Amino acid sequence: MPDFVFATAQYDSGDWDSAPMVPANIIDSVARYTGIDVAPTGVIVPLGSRDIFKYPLVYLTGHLPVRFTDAERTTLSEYCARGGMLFIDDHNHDVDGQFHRTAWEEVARAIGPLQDLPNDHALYRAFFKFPEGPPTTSHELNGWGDNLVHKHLQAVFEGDRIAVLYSSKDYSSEWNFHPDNKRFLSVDSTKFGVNLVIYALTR
Amino acid sequence: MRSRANRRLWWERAARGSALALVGLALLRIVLAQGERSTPASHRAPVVHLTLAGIVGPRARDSLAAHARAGDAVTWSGDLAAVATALEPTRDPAARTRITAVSDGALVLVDSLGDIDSLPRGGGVVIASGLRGAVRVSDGRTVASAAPSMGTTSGRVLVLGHVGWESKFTIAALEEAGWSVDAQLQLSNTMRLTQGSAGAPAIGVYAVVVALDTVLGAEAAVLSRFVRAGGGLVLSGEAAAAATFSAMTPARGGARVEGSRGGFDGSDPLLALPIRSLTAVRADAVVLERRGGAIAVVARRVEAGRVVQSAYEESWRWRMQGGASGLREHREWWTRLVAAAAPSVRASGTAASASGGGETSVLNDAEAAPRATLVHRLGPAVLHAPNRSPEPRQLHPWLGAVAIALLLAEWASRRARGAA
Repeated sequence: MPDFVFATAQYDSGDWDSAPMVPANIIDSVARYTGIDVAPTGVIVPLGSRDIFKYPLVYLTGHLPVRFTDAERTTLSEYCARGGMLFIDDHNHDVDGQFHRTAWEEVARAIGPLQDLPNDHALYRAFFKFPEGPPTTSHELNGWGDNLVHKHLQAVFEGDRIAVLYSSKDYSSEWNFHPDNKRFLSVDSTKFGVNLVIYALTR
Repeated sequence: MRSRANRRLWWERAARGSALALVGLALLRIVLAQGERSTPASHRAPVVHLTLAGIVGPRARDSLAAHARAGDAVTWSGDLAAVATALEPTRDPAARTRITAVSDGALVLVDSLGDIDSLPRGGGVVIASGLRGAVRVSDGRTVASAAPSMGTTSGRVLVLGHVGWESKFTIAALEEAGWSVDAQLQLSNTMRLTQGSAGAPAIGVYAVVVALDTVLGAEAAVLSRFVRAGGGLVLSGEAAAAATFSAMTPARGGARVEGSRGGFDGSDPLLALPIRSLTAVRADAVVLERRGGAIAVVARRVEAGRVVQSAYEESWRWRMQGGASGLREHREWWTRLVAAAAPSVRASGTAASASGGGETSVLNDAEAAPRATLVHRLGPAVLHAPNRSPEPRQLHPWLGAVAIALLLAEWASRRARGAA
């Protein structure tokens, strides 16, 4: 069995499958830059099922309001306590958007309040170096959405380990393209995705 | 008439002779007694016998043992219960103590803070932490006690593997258990991630190396030297079947066998893990764990060090997918593996007494098994108290009284017949 399988969380509310190309793109980058034995295709795992425990890193995104069911909330709490890591990216990226507000509320209810992740955190040097903190996205730089360049990601910690990582930077849009098109980019924007995977696999 | 006078004369002579013989005997005994007083004490052998209803205290026992060593005949009898205990620090960072106790009856274990646990008839093992003062083990009649010693692990743990869930959760489990862990994780053919020190395995720095992968083949020689010098090595996952370690491994790692389809829903979560069959177990190896009929964990000494070989793969699934206690069980299982390979614990702060030195440890050992110590010092119990022969001096008054009575009777007889 491969060492790493990219898993996307399927939750009852909202549009969990709003960025269908992200898994393939991150899988491609992990295989391209590292020697990690990565599964060629990702999986979709219901957030409230026991199957989520097979995948210690899970990606969750969407545009619409997020409301976890009791089962999803309970499972997520146990998942993080056992060592799992949930990466949530706001695909909406608008001012006080519905996804942002509700996702924060649900994370706070299930696990704990999000707080700013320092830009010198180990996540930013887990593989590639990001001395300025989280890389900006073209959506931020173009002034789309909330017209802000978010200086920090947010996180909930279990000890000194990130249990939930939250992004308002809309990496889901930034990474939602076919991997073959990376050759047209001067800088591969998915490199930060590799850091995410390496961090989850080592911390 | 003549014959009657002769008989009387005969009786008088016999009485006088007997009286003189008794006086001679008394004089002989007095002379012998004086001779005994002048001989060394070791040749006198007075007899001391104790009928015991309970274990005598260490002072009384040691005093009697001193008498016995000096030549006195010291014996004892009584139905004393055999209670014994031994305390050993566990080889893990939690500084716990393994209390082993045996007895014919049920036992209660206490320390100065109160009750620790109880054990059924026959005894057993209790692992406790936070002990204060000596541990006393009692069956209600006999108390054995021993002072705990604090165990200290002699180094850190180095995890060698590749980047993956198994290495991540192995490190997490060991760190949560209190081990100080460094890691060197292969990310690609040319890149290795380091957590903590990037140094090579070395005695004095690391107590145990956990190898999870075959990519470490080039380091096999370094690991071999580390083990032979006294380090511990845990081989798990692909490393357990790596040919590069075959000179040290307790068994030969074979083909991978998938876990049960029932997954982690069953009572034994280890059944759900894939396993790499271990065969050709060496004669000097010890099987530590089995899964069904298969050998799961096996260990052996290699010169000054130890090698533990685990057949399990993807143990991280136990932590993530196991039952409610999976997280704890996975952590404790990894701690046991590492502890089995770790060098012996250096004990510190052993004695309950401040006097120190050899006598202190003798006393502590004595109280750990009081009946055994009593037998060791005074010999086994005897069924009956030994018979006492009357003391020679006690016979003298009787001998004298009989001799005087005989002389008086002889004198009276002579006076009665008118003889001088």
